[in-house]
Amino acid sequence: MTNDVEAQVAELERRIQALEDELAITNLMHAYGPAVDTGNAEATGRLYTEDTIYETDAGRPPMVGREGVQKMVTGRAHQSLLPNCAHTMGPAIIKIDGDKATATGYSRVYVRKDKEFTLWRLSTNRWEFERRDGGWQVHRRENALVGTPKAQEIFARGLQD
Amino acid sequence: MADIESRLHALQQRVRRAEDELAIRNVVVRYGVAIDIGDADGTADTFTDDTEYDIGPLATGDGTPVVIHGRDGIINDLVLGEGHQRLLPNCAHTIGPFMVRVEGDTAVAAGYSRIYHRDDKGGENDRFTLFRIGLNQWRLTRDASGAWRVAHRSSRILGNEGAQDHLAEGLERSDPTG
Repeated sequence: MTNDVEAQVAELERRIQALEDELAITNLMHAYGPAVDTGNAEATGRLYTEDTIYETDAGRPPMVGREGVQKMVTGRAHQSLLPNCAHTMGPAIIKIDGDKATATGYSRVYVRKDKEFTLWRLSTNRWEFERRDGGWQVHRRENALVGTPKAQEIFARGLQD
Repeated sequence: MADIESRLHALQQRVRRAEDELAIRNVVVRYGVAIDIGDADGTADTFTDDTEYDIGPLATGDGTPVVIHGRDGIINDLVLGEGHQRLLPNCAHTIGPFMVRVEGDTAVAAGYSRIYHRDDKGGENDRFTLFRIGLNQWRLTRDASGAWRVAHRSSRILGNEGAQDHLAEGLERSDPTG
């Protein structure tokens, strides 16, 4: 009986951990927008692993490491959008596998010009997360504009997870 | 056995925290669903009775933020007010994405909101436009019945003066890595 209760408690602990992980990953993805839209390179860098890779087809080579991501935030292309941009992440499907996880979904960049709000970029994304030092971080992100072969490939791969 | 009891207690707290976050996500989004059908009581139910909703400075004003006070303010000044009634039934208030941080019986959240509008319905220029993007902070509390409600919301329009600082403050309070 004791062993049976013990096993049930252990099972519940695993299940609640998976729910907590999914909520934590959702918050992590949703923090990307506020971090970059406020030009906060430090807060943006904290979302990523030290050896992260962030690939995008926005005409720049992959960003490598936390420093690479931070350079994007402080770089001229991104700075020229501030303070009139809104990067919104989601919706996304999330799959947890122990200390690794993936998310596949949408992201948008809105830009305000005068009084007009326009959707400037609409992309698909694949996020790969790792649990490090007790918290989740983005270890790899791929981002491709909707309408490109890469964008389709990202979603096809996401459905295989 | 004491070990099992303490593990069960920890599990109860963890389940409650996860339930709280899901309930908070629902109540914040529920605001949009209620206000888009002009349901004044339904909208007010997402707020505490003594809520404050700081909608920011008016374009025509002196820069002082306009604050809507309490349930009565949400019903009469916001939902039944001329500004909102003019948008109905052609508006969609979509809230999110946003971050949530639960701290016992209170919580903070920060993120985006959009208002879409269907212009010239039935006319030659019938189209959906993005009317506004908001940058928001929410403070929520758990009421006596266990339901989560918004005790304070402040919203600034993307690109307006002070809006970026407002989002930065929201990030600092709700940052999942913080």
